[in-house]
Amino acid sequence: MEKLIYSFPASKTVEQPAHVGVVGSGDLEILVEPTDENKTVVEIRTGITGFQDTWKKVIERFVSQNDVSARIRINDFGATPGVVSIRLAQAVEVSTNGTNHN
Amino acid sequence: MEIKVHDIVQFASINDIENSIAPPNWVKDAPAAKNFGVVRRMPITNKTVPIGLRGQMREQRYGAFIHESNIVRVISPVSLVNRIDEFNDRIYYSALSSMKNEFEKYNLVWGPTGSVGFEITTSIQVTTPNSDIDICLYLNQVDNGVLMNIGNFLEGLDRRIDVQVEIPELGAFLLNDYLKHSETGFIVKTKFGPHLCTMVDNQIKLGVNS
Repeated sequence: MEKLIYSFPASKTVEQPAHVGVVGSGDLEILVEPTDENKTVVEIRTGITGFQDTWKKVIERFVSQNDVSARIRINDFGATPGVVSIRLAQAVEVSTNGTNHN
Repeated sequence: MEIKVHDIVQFASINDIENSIAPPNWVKDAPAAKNFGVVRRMPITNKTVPIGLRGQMREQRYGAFIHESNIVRVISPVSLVNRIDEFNDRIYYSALSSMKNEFEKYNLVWGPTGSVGFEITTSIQVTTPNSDIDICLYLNQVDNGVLMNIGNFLEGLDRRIDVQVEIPELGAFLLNDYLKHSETGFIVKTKFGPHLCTMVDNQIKLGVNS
């Protein structure tokens, strides 16, 4: 198990918590908790070690496109970068527009 | 020769594979990588098949290619169902055996994939007591009733089973994701990448209405 934490400055608050994705091979779960700390904090837990560089790129890309003050927790089960990006976008969508389903 | 994602291909020598990036060091020493690769979800162009090689560790996965002419044998997950009983001393046996009995009743086309499928194919031990049990289920179309029944049946097993549902000409999705999120957004993995989709009037629709 590997734990990675990234923190970036943020300015926009989000409306509500979100929970997207599933526990399952090749996928991941994402939990978003709004904060008022003006930071995007991303915590990743993954069973597949050695992909720090890839995670960093995916998260940096996400943060460059989304300004959200939130704590984002990711439980990864071997998702590809494409799946991670889709889930992150989905999580922000739910958090800002309230189409939560969990 | 029809080769599909999840199939395991056998080759004579590791020298027969084609690389896009230099192989990591573990490749040459990994027993599992020596003669077998698992077909990845990518288009097959110029008879060159995208495969993944596996090492002993979970993070040891390497994407390579092999030309069809260098493939000696193709083993599909479906063909492994008949060999499950040979592995009756393994921790995953009872789950596989229960699924075999249940799925037979409905003539479902399925097979073990992931580490369990690899182990049954090659007899090289790659599973651990903590290994997931991955299976692939081949349906001609999305059938909500069938998928819900399978979900209910699997809930009753003592191990969590990860089910990829493969639909021809479309791609695959995780059964769990579909069952929980078919109306709010589930991921369909296609040869050209993953897409967030929803079910509308029993049809898969690209994207999510918000």
